[in-house]
Amino acid sequence: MKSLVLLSTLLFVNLYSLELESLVKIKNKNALLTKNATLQEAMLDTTLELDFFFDDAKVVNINRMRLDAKDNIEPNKFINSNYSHPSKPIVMGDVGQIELRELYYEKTLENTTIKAGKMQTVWGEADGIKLLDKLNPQDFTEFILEDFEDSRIPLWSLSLTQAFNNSVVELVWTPDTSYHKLPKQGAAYAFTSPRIVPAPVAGANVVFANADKPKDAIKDSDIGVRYTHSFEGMELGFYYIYTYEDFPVLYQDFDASTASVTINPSYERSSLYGMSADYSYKDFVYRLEAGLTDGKYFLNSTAPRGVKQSDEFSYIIGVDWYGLTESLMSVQLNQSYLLKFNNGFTRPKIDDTITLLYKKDMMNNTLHVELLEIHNFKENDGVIRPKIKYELDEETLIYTGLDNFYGDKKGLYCQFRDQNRFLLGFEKTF
Amino acid sequence: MQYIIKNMLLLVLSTSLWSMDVLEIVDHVNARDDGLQVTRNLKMQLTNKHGQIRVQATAFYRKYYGKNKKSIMFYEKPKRLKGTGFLTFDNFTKEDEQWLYLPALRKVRRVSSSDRGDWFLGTDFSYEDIKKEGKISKEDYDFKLLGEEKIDGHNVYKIESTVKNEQIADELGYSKLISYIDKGSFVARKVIFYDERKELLKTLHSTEITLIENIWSVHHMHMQNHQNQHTSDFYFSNIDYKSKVSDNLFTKMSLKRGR
Repeated sequence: MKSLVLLSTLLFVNLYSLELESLVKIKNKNALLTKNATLQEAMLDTTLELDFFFDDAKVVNINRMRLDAKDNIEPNKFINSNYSHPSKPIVMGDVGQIELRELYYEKTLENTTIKAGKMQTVWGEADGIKLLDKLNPQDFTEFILEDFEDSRIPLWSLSLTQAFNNSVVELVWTPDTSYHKLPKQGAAYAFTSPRIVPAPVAGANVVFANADKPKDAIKDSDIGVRYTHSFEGMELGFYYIYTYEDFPVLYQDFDASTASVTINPSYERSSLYGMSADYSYKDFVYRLEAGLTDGKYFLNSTAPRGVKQSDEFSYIIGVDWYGLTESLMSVQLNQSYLLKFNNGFTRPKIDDTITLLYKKDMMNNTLHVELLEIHNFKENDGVIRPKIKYELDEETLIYTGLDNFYGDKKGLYCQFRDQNRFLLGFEKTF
Repeated sequence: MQYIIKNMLLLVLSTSLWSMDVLEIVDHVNARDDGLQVTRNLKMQLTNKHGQIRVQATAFYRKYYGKNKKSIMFYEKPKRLKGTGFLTFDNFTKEDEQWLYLPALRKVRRVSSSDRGDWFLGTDFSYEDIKKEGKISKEDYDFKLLGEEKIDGHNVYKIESTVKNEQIADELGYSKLISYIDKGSFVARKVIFYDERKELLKTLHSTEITLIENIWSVHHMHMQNHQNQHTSDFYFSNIDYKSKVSDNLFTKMSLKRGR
């Protein structure tokens, strides 16, 4: 009885000090293919966010319902096999899906913050490319065209952050075995580039087996540690991420008796040792991210089972220039080296990608113009994405834009050249 | 000849007296106490030339660390901007540092702090206007006392501040300011800004100036941009110089976490 009274008192005190804030965001997107002016997509995405504030803590709950009026991207193919059981969205037939995006408890005590629940953990600052932002998998249903905020797959995690004088240590443990959501064959953004998909063997049937996916929440959990230190206007970060790579390794097993190749997707672990730095001087901000991933698997046409391990070193150098009024011009160079390269790899030893970003705010921050280009030097392909956004009022925004892939069809970007599209949509918040 | 020399001497003497006076006034403006720390709410009402109004509400915290100061601002309204945060370290001896948190990106982004003349978050105030909080930089301007007047029934000094060189004019977006400094509080009741081409740019009118904890505090600032007919009204409320402002508030962690 005493404990019941105590519990009720605690509940009452908590409820008494409880403060609730809600937010509803409706996003509409319509995409028209430029090659034949057919509707590729017409969707409505409704997000409900409820934030419960206590004295030093909060609970955040974000739910999303996506409805498709027209879906030529993945018709009849809402898949969720990449998710762990507790993270699976509810699929509503061909119409759409409902998803618990985030549900976490966050409490701060002086220099310590603890966060537990389903959440997004975002590390790294690069635009359009991910190097250190790899704790959460991504939904590739629309390749990289969706905003990362929407395409990042939140995971059940526990995060502990401890601040010291000029340093912060962050530890993230993720027992959620969800991985990248990859489009199925035949979908608009299904991968076809030989960099990612094994080349067909002449005369052989190809059979896709179910992925061998880790299931054990403890044994198969991921872990990440970040240490950042600020001094003399510079911030340095050091990272260690021990995780399953979110892309499955596509093992190929040839059966001579049936003349068939079975592709057995399996998830493999790797370790990333990373660092970051940023520094601002005059009109410029300089950024660096670098990472060494050991034992990563890549397609290799001469290797047994079609894959071979190599360590990979990648870095991104970014320069942001704020010299023009209300503008940002940003250039990033991303290079990736395979450290154990031989001729069978389907990707080059050194891969170079450059990104260009221009943003300008006009009319007292009501009109926003943006241009992003991602260009791969090796394949000479890329994507150009101009976008204009206009705020009709405080809570309503309309936008139009273009997603234009160009270059060689074998390339990572140009494989989607047939999906070049014109966009029109709105966002409403209340 | 003697008469001319005598008059020239008098002119030089009077000019130097005026300059000394004006620098004293500027020193008084810059020495004005604005609290070791402050917590306040800021409502920004932006009106375009068609009369369309946008309202943004923020929570603002600032704390001095010797000659350096740190400030952080969190957007509370409109809901579309909720969670957006802006952290600034104004450093006395080295480059300022700024970070912006955009909830849509989930990233704290380092931004350049040298854009002193850029518009502050779509308002008619520049980043420099916000940073200075009514103070006047002696490094950027030369001063001249133009006389004394009355503004809103209060006696004021009329001061002309002219930028020292073209580079500063380019950085600030101003060539000249005419400030009307209250004789009692040393708060600028009115400031007229001229752009780099020496054309009238905007006028600031500060009203509802009261003493809180013995610190002169402005409750309403009205900035009229004469070139695009846009206006910004800043309403300060819940001004609190006493409550503790934690050092932990001025961190990237806090920026990301929100209020």
